[in-house]
Amino acid sequence: MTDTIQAVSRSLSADINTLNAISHNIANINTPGFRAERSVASFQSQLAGEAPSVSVDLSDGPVADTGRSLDLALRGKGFFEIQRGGETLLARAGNFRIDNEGALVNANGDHVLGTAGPLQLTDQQVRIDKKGEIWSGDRSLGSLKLVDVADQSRLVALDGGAFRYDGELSEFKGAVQQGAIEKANVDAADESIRLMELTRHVESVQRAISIYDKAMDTGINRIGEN
Amino acid sequence: MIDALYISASGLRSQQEQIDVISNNVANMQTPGFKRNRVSFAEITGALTDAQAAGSSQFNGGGSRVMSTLPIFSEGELRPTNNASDLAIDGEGFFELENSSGEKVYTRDGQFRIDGEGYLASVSGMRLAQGIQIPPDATDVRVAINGDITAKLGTDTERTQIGSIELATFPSSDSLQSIGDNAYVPTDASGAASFGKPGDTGYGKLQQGYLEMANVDLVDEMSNLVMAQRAYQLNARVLQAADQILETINNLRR
Repeated sequence: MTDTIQAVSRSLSADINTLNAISHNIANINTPGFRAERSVASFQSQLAGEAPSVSVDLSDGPVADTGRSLDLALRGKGFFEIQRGGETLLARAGNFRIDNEGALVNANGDHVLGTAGPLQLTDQQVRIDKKGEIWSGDRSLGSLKLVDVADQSRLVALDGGAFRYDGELSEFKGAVQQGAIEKANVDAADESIRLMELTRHVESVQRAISIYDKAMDTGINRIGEN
Repeated sequence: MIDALYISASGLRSQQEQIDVISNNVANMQTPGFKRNRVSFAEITGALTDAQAAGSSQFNGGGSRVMSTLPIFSEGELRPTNNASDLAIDGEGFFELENSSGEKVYTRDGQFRIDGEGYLASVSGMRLAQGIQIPPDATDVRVAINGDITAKLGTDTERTQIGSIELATFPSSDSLQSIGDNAYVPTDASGAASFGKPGDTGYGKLQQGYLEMANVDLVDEMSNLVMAQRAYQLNARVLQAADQILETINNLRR
């Protein structure tokens, strides 16, 4: 008899997860390299009462020119490899700088990896080509390690703009753009529409409960009256 | 429960910080040697559960935060002032100043003047750390590109060298801490200063009679302001929607 109530309450909790995902995306609308997240509620997970899984939108975000030599934007699917506490992670934000030991680090202070380990630079005045090779004049100083993921469902977003990934890596086919930063790929219009849709969905669920409650009221209290 | 309220609040806070930094940049548009600041945001995620660490992707986002606000040391426009005690650094490097308590601070602001005892000092009264004293009878003081200061003393016709200016650079100048008055102090993250003559590799040249203006680009700041304002608005909208949804849930049996 309470099946309806349970179905409705599962539906509400899925809505709340979606709301959290939307607010997370909008809170990060100015975070460089942020990838929008979608809460995907499947029929199975709804029935089992599990939290919906999350998929990461890997489409390119808009690029903003900064003119700074260590701001790098990736075009096309792919990631920088970075090292945080000995663990290799993936990152999309390319607002790099040089730390006091001459290592190339991202905004969070994680070492940026090259094809031959963490990159060291002495000077900001470098040229970085489309393939991610770093040049000082005619001399190559190393090459950024750029990768693409084969199975994007295994990406887990971590704090400070990094992703943990334990699946197969594939070759990076995009390009590096120097002197620019990739913005978040959050679409404000899309998120707003989903927010409206969601608010109305919650209201219709509320209506369903209200009507079911009335029906039960009639069934329990009024049958047999007069 | 509904994290959305806290998540959108974090977004509001981040955009607020962005607007604060933009207003500071714009307010200092005409400050010689000022370097604009840039805010870097990062996303927040909650602690991972074992299941998530094992690779199953569940949502654990927590909004955004300000990761760092760092100065951008790109060069500002060099503006001629025809004032012999104005110096601009064309390239990398900082002037080293000494404040009243003997601590070293660093600046790009080259508006110098001669203080009561004849020393070259900044407009806020801090002397150049090289301790350059201009004799009272010196005329036609010149500062060469490499920092050497020469002048004609008394009735001499030959020029005499009275000192030279050195510049300081840092391994990671982005991490210098701003202390106001256009001055910066080194931190652990920036590393210690190393010194060199202006014009050497890695050090800029000195230009006498010029001032380096702020590197603030009004168009950039305005477009960032519009972005920040709209993002703030959108976050506020989400906050409102989350509130509305909570209200609906509170009145489920209506």
